[in-house]
Amino acid sequence: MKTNKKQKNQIPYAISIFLIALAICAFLWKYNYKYIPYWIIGIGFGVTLRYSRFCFSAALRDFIILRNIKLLKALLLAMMVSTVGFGIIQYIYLENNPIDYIRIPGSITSVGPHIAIGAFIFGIGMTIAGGCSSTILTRIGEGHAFPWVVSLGFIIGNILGANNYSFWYDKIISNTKVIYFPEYVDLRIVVILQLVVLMILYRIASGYENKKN
Amino acid sequence: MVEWLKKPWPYWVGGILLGIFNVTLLAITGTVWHINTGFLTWGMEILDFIGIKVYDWRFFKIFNYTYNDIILNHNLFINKYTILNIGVITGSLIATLLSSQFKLKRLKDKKQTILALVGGIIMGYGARLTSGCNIGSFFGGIPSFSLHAWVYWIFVVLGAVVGTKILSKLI
Amino acid sequence: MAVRELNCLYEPCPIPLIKAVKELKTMQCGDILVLRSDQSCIGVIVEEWGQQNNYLVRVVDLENGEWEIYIQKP
Repeated sequence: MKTNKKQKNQIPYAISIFLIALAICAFLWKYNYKYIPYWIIGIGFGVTLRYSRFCFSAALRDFIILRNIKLLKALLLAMMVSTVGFGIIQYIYLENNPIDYIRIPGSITSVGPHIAIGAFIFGIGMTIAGGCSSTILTRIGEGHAFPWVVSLGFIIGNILGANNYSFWYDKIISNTKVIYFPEYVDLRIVVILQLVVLMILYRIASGYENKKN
Repeated sequence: MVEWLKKPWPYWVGGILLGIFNVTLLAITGTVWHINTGFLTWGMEILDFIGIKVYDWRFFKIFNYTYNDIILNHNLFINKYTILNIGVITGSLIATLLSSQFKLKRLKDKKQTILALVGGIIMGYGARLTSGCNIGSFFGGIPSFSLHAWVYWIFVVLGAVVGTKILSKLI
Repeated sequence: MAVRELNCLYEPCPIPLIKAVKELKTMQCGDILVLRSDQSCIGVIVEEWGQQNNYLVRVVDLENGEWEIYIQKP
């Protein structure tokens, strides 16, 4: 990549924002120290998403449309790391606690038509808006204007969704159940099986990438 | 050194780091990364401000465990989810400034604005149906060994393909 | 060898790439399309796409936050 000399050096601004972030850390330490991990990890997510140009919407969409396999492989790597980590955390939790979907550390919810519908319309929405949730936040940090509009849409959409939820609940969701794999198979085996599945998907993706080149 | 700060990281580095942060967040706080939930609480704050009682909605009785603390402590504006969101924005801002690639950009035209707004509303609505957006339900759901996340994966890809076809026709 | 410019500033991913692909379909072999965009991901995505479809791609960093992407039809 060649560089044009018109570029203004913005590193001093970066350092200023970083110092403000540190100041906020100190403030949170006094105000509510429990918020500090969220602040730091949030910044970690933001820096990582931006520097690696990681886009969930692209990872989910482009491997079919554009045959962009590299992002999908990176997503699979993220899944593999998370699988191991979450597996350990849930294993430790379940040693001393019963299976209660709401309390188990993780995101466990029932499966049914509402998931299919919700995910499908989310897929449409993220493509026409120009990015999924994480991408929108990243774009705000880059100075774009459109993600602010999308964020307004998020607020409206979430409120509408919460308001309408009883309709969906009565019609569909209350009749669905949770399928939490460790309820049927030992958690350790689930972790290994899921890792194997993800690795197979990774291999298939690599194979497809090499074939194309 | 300045050139090195501009270089994007390879995708796989990002993937592994995202996984590590994802696990770290759960390990330290017991909470999964959610993005749209933060926007929901902001929406609740706005409605509360103008006098609409959202707490009476059935949604908050069903999801009492998730939102009760936040509602009771009046943390609708600053809570763990909104701090995560602002953190992501700040991290992206720092990274963009370090690469000297920050620039305020305007909206292109009315069509783009409408697409952005409609897209955002659809995303928010879909996120409530699935108890989480792509991050909360999918990125947090797959490592949680819940079947719903795999179903989510399949249908969000289908939605994205349809969305791209729609977009191609509209632009 | 014609050179065409495509200004996709302020348009979010994937619009610049969709427009570029549409435009390239109407161009002759050897022609160059200059895509102007302010999306940070677009450089890497177009490079990937170019590799998959045998198009030559060169990304140039312009002033803060804008890129010019040269795409040549094989």
